[in-house]
Amino acid sequence: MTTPEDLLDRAAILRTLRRYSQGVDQRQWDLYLSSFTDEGTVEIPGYLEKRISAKEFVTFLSGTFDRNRLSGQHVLGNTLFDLRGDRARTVTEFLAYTTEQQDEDVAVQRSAGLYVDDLVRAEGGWLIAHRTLVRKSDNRKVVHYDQRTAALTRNAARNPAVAGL
Amino acid sequence: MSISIDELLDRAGIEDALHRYAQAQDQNAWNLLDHVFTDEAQVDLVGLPAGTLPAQAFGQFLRDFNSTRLSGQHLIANTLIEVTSPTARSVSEVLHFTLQRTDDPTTLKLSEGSSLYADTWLKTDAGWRISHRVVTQKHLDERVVEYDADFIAVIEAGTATDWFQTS
Repeated sequence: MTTPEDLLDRAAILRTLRRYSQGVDQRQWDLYLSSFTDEGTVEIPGYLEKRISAKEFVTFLSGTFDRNRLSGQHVLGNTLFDLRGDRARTVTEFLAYTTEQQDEDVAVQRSAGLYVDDLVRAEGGWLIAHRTLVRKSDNRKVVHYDQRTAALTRNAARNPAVAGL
Repeated sequence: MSISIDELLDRAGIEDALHRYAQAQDQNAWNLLDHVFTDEAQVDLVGLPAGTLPAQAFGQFLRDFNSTRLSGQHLIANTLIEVTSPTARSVSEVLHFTLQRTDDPTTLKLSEGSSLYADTWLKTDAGWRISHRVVTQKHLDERVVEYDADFIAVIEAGTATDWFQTS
């Protein structure tokens, strides 16, 4: 049965999971890294060849991955918690929309999958020690954005209103 | 309006059961479905041929439907909960995406839709359980898509893993 202490842990864990999403979607890489332990790792079967550190992954996200990206949104839901003292396993669905510049057009990709997270209690909250990203589907279509819409979309994550989360 | 710790615990218990229902079918983790409905629960599938089913039969209906499914996601959101312990009501939006296999191994049927779950709850000794669910479909869009065989193998490996098992 869930206890009042569990509610505090669950709220802190959800906040950590959201820092990851907001970090990558708003290009706030410090926020992204704040969701992991210093030794935190990431693996994505079928996408990354091997498990890598969160720090290596953020280099990829802020570099190659972000080069043509206009915007991204990683919506989280259905989190189930397995709390075990100072450790926890959570299983969370994500639904991601990514828009990318593709020559004169824009590719819209909708990806669905799971985040399977092993977290540890740390000073000031819970941190991800390891994340496995389980891919379920990727569907892509190409649409045309006029220049103004493309610029608005590209700049959405640079809106000062989201700075300093 | 203030909310008590007891009500927060009730809400957490209800949300856990909502998430167990979705994760049971989306991760083929059918043991989770044993902790969602009361023994006498009924599920109304409004406008669908299956009609109204007892929870046990509904579970089998889901298993049968999933036998040709490659992957799926039922994302639950906007849940409103009204607790009048030992009963409660909740209303949730759900976005659902499923990939269904066809006779061609790399051709899949993509189904995108949205529905509403209107649930009546009972607080049992084992926790909150749905005693009555009404599923109302809001929209459905189905089309055929082509997937790379390697990506299908990645998805299959993911759905074959028990992600709730910690080492």
